[in-house]
Amino acid sequence: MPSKSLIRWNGKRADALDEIVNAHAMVGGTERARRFATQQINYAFTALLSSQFQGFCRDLHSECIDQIVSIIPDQLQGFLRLELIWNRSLSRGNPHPGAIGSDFNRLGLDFWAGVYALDSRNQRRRELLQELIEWRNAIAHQDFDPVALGGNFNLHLARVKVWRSSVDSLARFFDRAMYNYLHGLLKVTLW
Amino acid sequence: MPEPRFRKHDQVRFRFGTRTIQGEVKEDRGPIGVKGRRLYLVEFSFESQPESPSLIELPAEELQSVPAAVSSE
Repeated sequence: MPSKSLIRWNGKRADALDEIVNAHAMVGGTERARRFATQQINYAFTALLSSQFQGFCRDLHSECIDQIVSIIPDQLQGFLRLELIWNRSLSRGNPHPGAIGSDFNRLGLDFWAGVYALDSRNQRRRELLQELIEWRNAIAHQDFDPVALGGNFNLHLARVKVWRSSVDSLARFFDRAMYNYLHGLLKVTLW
Repeated sequence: MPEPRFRKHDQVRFRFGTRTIQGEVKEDRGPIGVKGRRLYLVEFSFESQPESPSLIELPAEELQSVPAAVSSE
């Protein structure tokens, strides 16, 4: 059974992303005008994809904390809750791989190692997530560094769709990695 | 799915160790807790450190609503 966070990712969050894809398809006008408009939509899609994925990761992190905390005595739960979200990177910044790893590692596992163990293609997906975040930052700050972005400032829908597919897979593997870890640790039915 | 019991900016109380602390709801995190219980992000400060607020995520059943103060003016 998937986590509540994954259900939300596949539902409300996917719907929001689909709306951008639909907007892209509906853009009309001359070829030049359309190219400009779709470029802006691709930028918006990239920023939204990053923010929705951040939301998923943060949800999953909170969901895992609630699972862990629920098995300890009531009077101790507050301390642990406070400690586990203290200075959480996913509450403040982008869901870059380092931030995700450091936040989830604080729950007691080697997060990325667990994700790689489930599917070796997750290493490539992690690289694509990093690429998505670099583009997201370039768009948000209007600072297009040719070195970081591979020398090409044109962002095509196909590329954003590759990122989306990658983070969609990562979401499923994050969910599974945390399920496996918490189920082994807590010995309770999860989610 | 449990309905929202608190809104952003609501004042709430909760147990923290041996004390009861008051804080402010910053975000409804939705029904992502154990068995779908609804979590809230609450900001609070310790009396001796009002300049350094802390954040905690708590399930709805651990929060008590604090009635809004009525102005005497």
